[in-house]
Amino acid sequence: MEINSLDLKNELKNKNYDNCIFILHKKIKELLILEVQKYDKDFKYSNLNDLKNKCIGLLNEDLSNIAIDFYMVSITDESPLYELSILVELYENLTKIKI
Amino acid sequence: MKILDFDIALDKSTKRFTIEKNKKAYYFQSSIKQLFNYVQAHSKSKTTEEDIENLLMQKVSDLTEYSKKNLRIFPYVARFNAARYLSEHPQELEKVLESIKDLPYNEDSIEYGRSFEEDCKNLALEIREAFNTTMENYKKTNPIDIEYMETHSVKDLKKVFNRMSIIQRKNYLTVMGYVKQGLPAYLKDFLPSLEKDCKELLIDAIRSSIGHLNDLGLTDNYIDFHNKQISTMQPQNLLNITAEDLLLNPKEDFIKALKSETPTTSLENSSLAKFLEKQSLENLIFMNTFWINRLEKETEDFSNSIFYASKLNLFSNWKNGVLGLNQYSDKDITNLLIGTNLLFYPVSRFYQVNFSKVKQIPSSQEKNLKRESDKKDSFVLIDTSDLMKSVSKSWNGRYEEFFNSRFPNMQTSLQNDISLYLSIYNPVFLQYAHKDRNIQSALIVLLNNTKQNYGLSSINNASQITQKKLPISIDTDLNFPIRFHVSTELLKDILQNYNNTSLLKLYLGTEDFIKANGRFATTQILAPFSNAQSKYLKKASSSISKADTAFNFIEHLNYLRDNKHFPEHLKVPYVKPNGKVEMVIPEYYIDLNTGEIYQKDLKTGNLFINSEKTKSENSLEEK
Repeated sequence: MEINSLDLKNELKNKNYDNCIFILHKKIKELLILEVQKYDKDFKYSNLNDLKNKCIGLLNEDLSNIAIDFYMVSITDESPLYELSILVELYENLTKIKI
Repeated sequence: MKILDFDIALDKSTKRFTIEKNKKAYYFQSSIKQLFNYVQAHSKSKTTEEDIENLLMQKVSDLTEYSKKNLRIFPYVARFNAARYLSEHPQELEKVLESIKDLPYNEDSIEYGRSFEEDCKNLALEIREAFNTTMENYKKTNPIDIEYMETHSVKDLKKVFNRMSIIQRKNYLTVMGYVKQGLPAYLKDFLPSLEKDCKELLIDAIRSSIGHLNDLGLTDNYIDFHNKQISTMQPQNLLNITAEDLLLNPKEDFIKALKSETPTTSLENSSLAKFLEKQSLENLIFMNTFWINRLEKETEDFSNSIFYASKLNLFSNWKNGVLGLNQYSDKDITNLLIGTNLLFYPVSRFYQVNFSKVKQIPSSQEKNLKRESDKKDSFVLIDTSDLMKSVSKSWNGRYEEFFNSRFPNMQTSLQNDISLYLSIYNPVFLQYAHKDRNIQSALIVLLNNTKQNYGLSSINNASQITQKKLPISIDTDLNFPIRFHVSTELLKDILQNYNNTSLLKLYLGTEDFIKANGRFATTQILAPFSNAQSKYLKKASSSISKADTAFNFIEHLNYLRDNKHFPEHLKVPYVKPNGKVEMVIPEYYIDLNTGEIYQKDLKTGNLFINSEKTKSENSLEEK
């Protein structure tokens, strides 16, 4: 479930921040869905709000906080660089892998 | 409760406010000035700081109530949407009822808005429960013999019916319909009351949004801005037509009604309500989405500005009518934004955890589908003492240190600031908890409507589908297209959950609303067309030359005025089987996963990839 960090680095190098955000966002979402499915195998993703609430209800505080921060950065209007920095941090916290 | 380490919070906050700092400083200045104007407009002579604080906290409290009420709209719209679909498709209702036959009704598990399939199941569970309860009540209390009805033919029942008084007959027919036709008849009878509930909620919400925007002194700005835009876009040389007639006129009935609405206007005294009651449910949903969207942005600015003004002790200047911002440099402002934003991290987590427990639709004691929101409030007071203690312990004086070193004259107490922050940002966090729910209301009623001109507007470049937000436009019969930016993620989710697709319709005619400066005209005020505007458009549309730069704009507005006149310039030629060429309205769709554009084949109804359009749309210059 790791992302292709080379792809990501290339996108970063070319300053394609929207693409980097897109890649990381997709991956974090997938990882959170897998975490929820460990406790609720029938869980089907429907939207970010629902995913965040499921994480709060089922997962430990660290993962819930990641889900909340992920939700917040997704719904608020942020500059791409700020959003990217948050997503990198969340991805690293989720996977324990440094980008 | 785990609290984000102070250094990490500071790092995040610094990143958030040092990027684009000039822009932030600009917005800071204008938001503070707007708040200052609000205070001046609502203050009496000899105002004290306490009066100003009370005035602003009362407004925050009103906006919190407003945000709480609005959270209820989406589930009601989603429920009505499912009810209407199942009522119009009895075979689907039968299938859904079959799929839930072994599922017990549990009101705590009813949650609308996850997907259309789930909405239909939830509706079926609710309606089955309501139907059974109604029939049991009839059996218990009604003089009508239900068992006799169940075991006798309609012919026999008609004989009983003929012996009844007129008053008895109506009730008898209703019950007979339920007994003989079952749940579909019951759902059909219930639909108007579900629609009425939705309409009431929507009218109330639109009135509140407009009332608050009036109170904040903003609607006049919107009207002025709207008229300035129109003035630059309308034809200048049409004979016998007064160009001013196309503008929003403050003397016109709707604008007067709009401007007279306040947050405390009663339903009986609201002339705006009388206009809104005449609107279709769909129009009310779109109007609500538009106005809520406006007020949500203003609410966030309002809350931010109160907190900043309070931290800078500006109220001591404001009581004397002085803004008092001159003494602060851009660096001070950036520091203030960074410092106050520190609280965002613990408080946003705290709010999200607590709001995740709030139920969507308040339970109904009668076990029927009637709206009970006035009787039961599902919101609870939240104990904030744990949050206060945890932040104080974790940050251990660092917050105070941050402000004391940068603003030596500022008295800073973390406890006071958290307490203030929690109160001031209450309406904002309520909005965050259910962000975009109202936009979802608009989208779910649109998705099955292929006739309406709506969809993604302004395709600018090939990577657009990876952008965070996409512009959506909708043509209704109101004075301007409705526009809002929707999260791409949300759009994909809704399309998948409600239409099982990744294809979104393309809006036709985005370019009709490009102003002389190359920017798109924005929708400032949504209103029904006035008589003067209608007359103007009828005349202008019949006399304007195709060479006029305003031709497309006038044609598009004329279409909004009367949906029978679809703009010819947006149609495409279609060769009929007999060889004749006819101009028709095309249907284009964009795949949000791939960026490819599809076109509907009018002969077969199938979609095919339109490579040319995919290429040309994706290569348009960003406007």
